[in-house]
Amino acid sequence: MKIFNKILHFLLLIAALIIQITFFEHLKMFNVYFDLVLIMLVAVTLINGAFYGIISGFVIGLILDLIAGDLVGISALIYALDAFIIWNLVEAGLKYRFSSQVFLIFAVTETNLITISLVRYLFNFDINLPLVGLELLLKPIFNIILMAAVYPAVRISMRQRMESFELNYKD
Amino acid sequence: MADSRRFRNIIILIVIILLCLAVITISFRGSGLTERIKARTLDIFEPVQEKIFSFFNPVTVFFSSIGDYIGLRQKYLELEKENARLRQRYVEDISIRVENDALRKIMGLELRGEHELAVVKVIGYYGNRWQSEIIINSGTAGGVQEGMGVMGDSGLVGVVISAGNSSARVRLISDPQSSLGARILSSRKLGLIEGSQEGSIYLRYISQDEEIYKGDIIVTSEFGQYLPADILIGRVRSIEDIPGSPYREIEIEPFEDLKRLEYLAVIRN
Repeated sequence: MKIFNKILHFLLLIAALIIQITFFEHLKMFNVYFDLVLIMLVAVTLINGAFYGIISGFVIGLILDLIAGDLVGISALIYALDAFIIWNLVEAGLKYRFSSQVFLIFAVTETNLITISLVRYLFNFDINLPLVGLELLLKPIFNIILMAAVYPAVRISMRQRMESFELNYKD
Repeated sequence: MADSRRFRNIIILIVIILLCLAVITISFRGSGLTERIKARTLDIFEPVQEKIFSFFNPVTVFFSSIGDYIGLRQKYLELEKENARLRQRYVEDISIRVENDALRKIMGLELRGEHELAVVKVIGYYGNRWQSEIIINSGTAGGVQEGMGVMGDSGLVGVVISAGNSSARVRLISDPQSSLGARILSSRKLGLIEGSQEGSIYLRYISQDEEIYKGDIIVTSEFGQYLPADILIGRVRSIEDIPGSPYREIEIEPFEDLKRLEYLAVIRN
């Protein structure tokens, strides 16, 4: 059952990735988009633990890079890092509250943006600071709105593991 | 137990970070292996991606058309005027074309050919500050090759950067890494069309003393390796003289709406 759930959750991540490419990219505003893959990765990491989160974040990021990325490995890096950060924040004692989930999404979104900008900068890409600033401001809001819409559905569909989703971390 | 798990997770993360940095470096240096793996992955996901794209398409169209209703009347009147002008020009162009073909025959020059096009469907979109790309449902099996131009009903959209067997990735002209040879149609001056991180498109390397006006039409130049000349790109939206720079900053409004692409044509010759 455990293995079955883990496979199911990975398939959910794949589905999120395809929906991201086919649908969510069209809902862009101010060049900022909703990151469904990140939102689902946070949920899956909270349910299955850090190890699973890091590995599935790496694999799903790598697939995203291979389908649509210009630099292969950058999404794999940030999603694996996200799972690790979530694990650390939960171990630091986050209790189940809506505000805790908001904080988690805020923290990983900001980390993603800063890490991507830094890696791109190291690889000689231009950094447009006003655009980075705008994205740092808007993207967490977009992702928190998406989280508020998606997590109730995730909770209902994974009722049997609800307690772990509510930040009683299991690792 | 908890400590050993924590240690294991840290080790796994360090290994993944090192692995990712190695992969990023290989990809950045343009390895043929990563390109082949990319093409394979595109092919694997193409069937499911196409179905999901079609499923969400009505919702996507609804969202993207909300903005269209603002100023619809004004836009309609402008298009009516433009249509009348273009109808008049069309008649003139046919006469010129007939005359041109006759003269070319007399001089023994090759006649201007039509482009060979392959109709494709967009099945995915991916964009961030550093890239703007779409995925199309045709690849090498359909005659689509890396470097070929892709156009919509109104003008150039981008260039194929990677082709799998049954799908391909197209870099849009708004992508910051995109750079294409272009001409100002009226003055025949050459420049480069480049994208930017904010999604705007610019015509670069047009010097301060060149005559260029708002509304001037920009087309592809004949110096591209695969792109044929005179494919419509867009028209000049704004011109700015930057103090201290020998060149003007010319923003281009593409003829094709790059946010709403569905069926496109790959220029195969």
